[in-house]
Amino acid sequence: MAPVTRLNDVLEAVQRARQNAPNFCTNFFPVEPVLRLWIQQGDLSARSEAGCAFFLRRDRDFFHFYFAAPEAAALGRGLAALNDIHSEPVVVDLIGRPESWQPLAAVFAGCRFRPYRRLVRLARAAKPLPPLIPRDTPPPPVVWPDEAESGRVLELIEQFFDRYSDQLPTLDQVRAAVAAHQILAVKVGGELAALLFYETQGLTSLLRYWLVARPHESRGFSSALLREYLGSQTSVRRFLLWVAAQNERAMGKYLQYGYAADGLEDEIMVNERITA
Amino acid sequence: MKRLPELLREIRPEFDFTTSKDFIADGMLDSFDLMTLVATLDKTYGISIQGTDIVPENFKNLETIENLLRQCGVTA
Repeated sequence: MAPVTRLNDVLEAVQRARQNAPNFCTNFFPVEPVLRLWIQQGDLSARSEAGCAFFLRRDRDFFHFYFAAPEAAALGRGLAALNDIHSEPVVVDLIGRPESWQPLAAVFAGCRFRPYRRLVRLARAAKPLPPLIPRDTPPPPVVWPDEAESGRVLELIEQFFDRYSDQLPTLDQVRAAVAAHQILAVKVGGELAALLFYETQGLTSLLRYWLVARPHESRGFSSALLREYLGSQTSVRRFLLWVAAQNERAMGKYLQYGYAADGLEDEIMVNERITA
Repeated sequence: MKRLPELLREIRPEFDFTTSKDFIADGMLDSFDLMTLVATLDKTYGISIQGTDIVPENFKNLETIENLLRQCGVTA
């Protein structure tokens, strides 16, 4: 893989893979500003093989793997030629409906990758909240964290979420979200006890992380955060989130608030360098 | 060309695409939707939208998408 230095090199490599390819497949969906940032930070490298474009992006102590391939068989041939990627821990997200990601998962399984986790996307149309269940001790008020607490916010996210599957933010992204008031918190004794991190763009809002620190579970903090979030986004028409398919507890809570699977899944696979 | 609003409604039925000037800024299309839309346009109109043309500017609203389709040889 060679470092990417120009945005157009990426777009042209993807275009070569797409050319006259009715069965084109990809897991590469970056928006342009994000792509520019990856290139500027030197995080992105690329290589072409078997008519496919392949990309690696550094994230903490591992790499995300992306591809753009004319069809699944070419993807398999290209992957077979990329032996050097197995010297590093590599994660690949196969995003789509099951009928589109399953054939690609079979290709990766034949190239030294194994299933790691599956996320499902849940969507919720704007609608009234379910009735609030009164508690003997109401939770503390929902507040915005201070900028100085950005590091602690990231610490909690890293503690509760999986770096391979949950697209964890950088400290700069957390700082930006704090400044934009896109993180809600409940504090106990001045310390962050629960968090909800979201991104709203126009009519759509994505809930990214929602957590309650362990000593503070079952005190209504999570409901308080979710109600504040859903209730405050008055212009949003579509609420989205990704949740681990096997996380029945979280799934139950989301269903209770009107979320439902919209059919999109993220099959996450890892290579042998990741043993967790 | 007449079918564009219908194609968009098939992808995101909850939004009215005729009222927005910027589908992406208004949160009506995300990056997954864009890829779905590109594949749908390719298939519906028998074209191949260039990778270099898959940029937000070309998918802002009905007018910019129609311009892109024209550049790809689609006629009204």
